[in-house]
Amino acid sequence: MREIRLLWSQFLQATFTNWGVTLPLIFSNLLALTVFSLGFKHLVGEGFALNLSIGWIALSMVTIGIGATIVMTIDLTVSQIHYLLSLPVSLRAILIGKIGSVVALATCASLVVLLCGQFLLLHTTAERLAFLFIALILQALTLIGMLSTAAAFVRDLTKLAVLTNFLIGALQYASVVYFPIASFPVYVRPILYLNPLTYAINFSRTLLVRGEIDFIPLGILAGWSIFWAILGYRGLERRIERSR
Amino acid sequence: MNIVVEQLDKAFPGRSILHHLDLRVDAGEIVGIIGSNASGKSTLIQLLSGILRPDHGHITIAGVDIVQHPARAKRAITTVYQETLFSQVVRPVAVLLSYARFYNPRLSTKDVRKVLLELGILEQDLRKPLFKLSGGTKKKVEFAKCLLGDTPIYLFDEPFTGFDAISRKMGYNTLKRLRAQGKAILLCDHEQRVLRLSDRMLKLQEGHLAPIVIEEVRQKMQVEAEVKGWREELKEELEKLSEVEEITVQTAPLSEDEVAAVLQKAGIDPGANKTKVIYMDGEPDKLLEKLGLSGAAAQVMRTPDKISSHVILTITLTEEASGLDNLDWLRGALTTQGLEVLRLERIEV
Repeated sequence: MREIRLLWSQFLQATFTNWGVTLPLIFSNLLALTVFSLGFKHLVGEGFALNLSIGWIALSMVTIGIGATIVMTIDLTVSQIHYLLSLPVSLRAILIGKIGSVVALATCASLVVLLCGQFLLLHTTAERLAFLFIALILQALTLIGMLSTAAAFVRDLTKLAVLTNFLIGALQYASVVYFPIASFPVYVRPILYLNPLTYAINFSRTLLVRGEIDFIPLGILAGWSIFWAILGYRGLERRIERSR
Repeated sequence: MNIVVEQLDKAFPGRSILHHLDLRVDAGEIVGIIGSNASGKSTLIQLLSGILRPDHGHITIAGVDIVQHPARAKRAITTVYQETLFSQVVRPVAVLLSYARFYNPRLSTKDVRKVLLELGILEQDLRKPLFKLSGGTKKKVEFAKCLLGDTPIYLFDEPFTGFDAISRKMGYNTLKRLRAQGKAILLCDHEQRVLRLSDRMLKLQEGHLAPIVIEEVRQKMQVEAEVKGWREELKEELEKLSEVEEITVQTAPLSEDEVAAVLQKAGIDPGANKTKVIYMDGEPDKLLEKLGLSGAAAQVMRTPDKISSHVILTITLTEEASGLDNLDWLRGALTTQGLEVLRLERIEV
């Protein structure tokens, strides 16, 4: 266990000290949240500003999550994998540690934005913040699982940028980030439910706007997170095993 | 604690690398594997260190199957790879410390620095990331792994390529020390001189291992002896010694005193500014005349007795005697023959 703890702490350290990538992204997300919340609060009222900021909290992990998943995929399939496999740890420990550290980074990115939102708009209770935090972890797990699965099947890793741009666009716009799901035509809604952000945002909006805990989206998100995390793990494992 | 490999197969798409390979390395021995480039040495090392998975067969490290229990098996191994697997953007101390802590949690930055400096890495190189270091320095960083941990099994893949003579010697001594400590060591290289460290040597060819015996040809030693009182018949007499293979005799050059005595006899002042002493064979008077030069020439003819009395002997020893460190026996043999030994020393062949 000592070796696994050491490995995971090294992964977390490497992930969280990559300030060149994380700081600008967190900064731009915080700035966006601040500007949107102040602007929309003035233009269309606090209700819309609140809705948007909840969507933005969930969205803020997407870019960092995608970037970190790409770095992780490259580490695990090209640059670092031989070194990692030479260490006295199992492949399982390596994969769980890597996926876990990316999930932690993505969650933290949203958490920073959540705390900023709390200060600017949300002003909610600690209990509700804890629920939001759980939803964010599940969303991060789903997102990273989906991305890992996709990345594991990309043959040419230099083409990952194409996948990245496509995914960022799809997750941001085919989503309920900007508007509640009720604003969309009925035939569009099934597509929106393919986006993991939808569940976390729906749960958060119900919690913060109506003050109700809706366990249905949270439960679905928990199911998705397990499904995609396992799929992502298996995808990466298969890719590594095939190269051995 | 040992390595046991049974019926190991490994192939990459379109190419079989190892085929039904068996190997055993026991504690306290160095097993050397020699093979040409791309013969599969590095593949074998990567299989034994858990990077690659065997297609068939078993690898047991310190009694643990590396496929079934990779973490436990790898805990027993330190591997020095042909090319370092460390991240190239990290500095040597940081990269080694993060690696070595898996084997020795008590290690500090200071310990790692000390080892790297002892290996001859310059202080300024410790401040550079790996990609900025020379090939030899990178190899030393990789080699430092075996000095930081304490595992029962060590794997080396061409560990000394790029090492200078001093570092190479230090590396050889490290391997010998590890063997003396009872470690099981597998050493792969394509240079036979490196593999002379090993107790057993195997050749990897077409995916198989076969034992090979390299005949140890000891360099025959030559000794130079400057003696006085030489007689022609002594050559045959001394060559009868079982340790002596051959003797060649050369007349010793004139000493400074002898030259000075000859010049004085010829009326030439050896201390004068215009005096230049040139040794040559033949007739110096005629040569000076031919060159249109003036000067005094002295022709020295050693008496037959003198030629034979002061000589330099080049004595080639037999293979067996070449291993002897002490040359007192030879000095004794020469003195017994009535010779005055002025100088006796080994010479490089």
